[in-house]
Amino acid sequence: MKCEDFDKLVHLYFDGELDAGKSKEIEEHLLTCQNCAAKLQELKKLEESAKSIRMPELSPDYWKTFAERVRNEIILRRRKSIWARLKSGWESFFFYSPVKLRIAAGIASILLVFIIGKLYWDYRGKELEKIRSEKMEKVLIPQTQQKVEALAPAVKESLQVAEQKEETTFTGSKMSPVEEKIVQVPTPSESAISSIGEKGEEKAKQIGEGTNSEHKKAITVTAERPVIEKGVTANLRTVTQAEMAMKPPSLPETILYVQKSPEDKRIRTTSGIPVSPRISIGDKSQPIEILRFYRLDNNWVRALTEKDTLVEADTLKKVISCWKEYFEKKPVSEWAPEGFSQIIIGYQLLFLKTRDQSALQEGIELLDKYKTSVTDQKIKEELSQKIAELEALKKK
Amino acid sequence: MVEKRFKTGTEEPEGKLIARAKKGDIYSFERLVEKYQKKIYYLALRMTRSHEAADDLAQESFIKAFYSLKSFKEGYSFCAWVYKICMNLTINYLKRQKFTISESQIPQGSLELVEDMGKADASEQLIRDELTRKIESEIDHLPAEFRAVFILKTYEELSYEEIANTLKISKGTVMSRLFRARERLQKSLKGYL
Repeated sequence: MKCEDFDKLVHLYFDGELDAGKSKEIEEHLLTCQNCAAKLQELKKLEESAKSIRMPELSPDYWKTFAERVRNEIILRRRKSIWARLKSGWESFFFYSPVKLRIAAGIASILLVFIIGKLYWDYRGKELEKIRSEKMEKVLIPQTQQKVEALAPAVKESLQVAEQKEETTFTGSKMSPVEEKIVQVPTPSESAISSIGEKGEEKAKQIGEGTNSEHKKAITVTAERPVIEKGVTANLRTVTQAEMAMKPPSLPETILYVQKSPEDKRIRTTSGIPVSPRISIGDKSQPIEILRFYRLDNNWVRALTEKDTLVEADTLKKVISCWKEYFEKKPVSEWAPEGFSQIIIGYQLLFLKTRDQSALQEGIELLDKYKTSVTDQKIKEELSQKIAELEALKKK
Repeated sequence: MVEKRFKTGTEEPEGKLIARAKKGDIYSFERLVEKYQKKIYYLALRMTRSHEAADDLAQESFIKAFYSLKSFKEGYSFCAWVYKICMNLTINYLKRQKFTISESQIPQGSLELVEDMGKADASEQLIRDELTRKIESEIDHLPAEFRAVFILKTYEELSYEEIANTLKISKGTVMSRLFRARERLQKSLKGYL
């Protein structure tokens, strides 16, 4: 064996980790090599010196209590552990998850509000529907039935005819100017609405002759309740007497209300019906459109505004003709100024719809004629201004 | 072979004690503690050179052993298992504390020599005292891993394989660390040995 090999194996030899063969080889080498023997001796000295360090002897009492202290510590920790587990569980559930709690509370609140809102909305819709139905049944239908009995034979006859045709049931006589009646009918089309005036008048003429003054306030019109079908946006609505002669329409529902002011005897419109801006039909809730009508004697004419760009041309023509007829019938002193503006708006909308300049020219001439007739200077000025506007529109 | 140093006497019903302790019998475990408390304490003391630290570490080793008893495999030496726990805790402690002991921390009486000091003359006594102090100091300055291997080999007289099992390292690593620890000590104690 060489000294280099011995350097590698001396620790293993010293620690007794070599097998017998190797150990014998090293022992033989040590007999001949003083240098390697000295190295081994150094290791022995180191170990002897290290082992010479004595550890302090502790008192017997320390050893007697050592195991006991360990036991007590284990018991203590076990208790703490159980308590800590319970505590942490409790805290994590109630205290240490504020974010989770907030999220849960927020979701619960939203759901609660949504559920309550939905329930209330449904309830409100049903209640409104119920109230309306009751109102009509109590006020209108019994009244109608009662008065049908008292009507002239001609009226009864006309009613029977109407029933046979499965259209509307119509009773009554000429209305007093301030009166308004409400019925439930399916929604009319625009053209149907425009024809209210004429048809209403015709009906009124037909039945008005045989009625007495008591019945003049009892003109009511009922129509068939529409069949509510899935997919139909509007089936029920409340309308005025003005629509009494209408056929079952197909357009969305409307609320109609007309009133003439008793104070100044001028014809005007108002939206006085205390109705919700929404109406509940079945399980659906939808907005209500309010239409206004002017009442010209027994005619009901759609009140136009500049926004009514979707109104059909026929309707516009009929509105104009109704007002023309009204002005022809009435003396100049009773002319309602609203009529001028209605005619102007009617011609403007008609022109925008048809691009027919002749219609516009007709309007200009008509207004010019009224202008010469009216005595009120202010109205004259307004008419002149409007005529100028129509002319400008025509040039455009 | 591996567990030769940790074999317990046949008179001790260690297996039964362990089985009962596993079921939560704290008093059976207490008896096991009584049996190995000195070994564990002195191992920790040699490593830390502090009575307080050794006391804490020895207690903690037994407490940890009690809570980990479910993972203790039958047939294995309980003492070796607690040794392992103690060495892990001690090495972690030393790393955490950057433990460097000063002479003032060494308990009184720890520098006694094995030999009968009454026979040695005054000059020899002084030389030996100095050598002992020097060796203690140099051992304390060894890295924790080196010190663990050196102590397990020198004082506990474990084989390489037993040291490897206790410290969860390979046999080669044990050899390497032991040689290097000895080299460092020999180098620093050159004038004394």
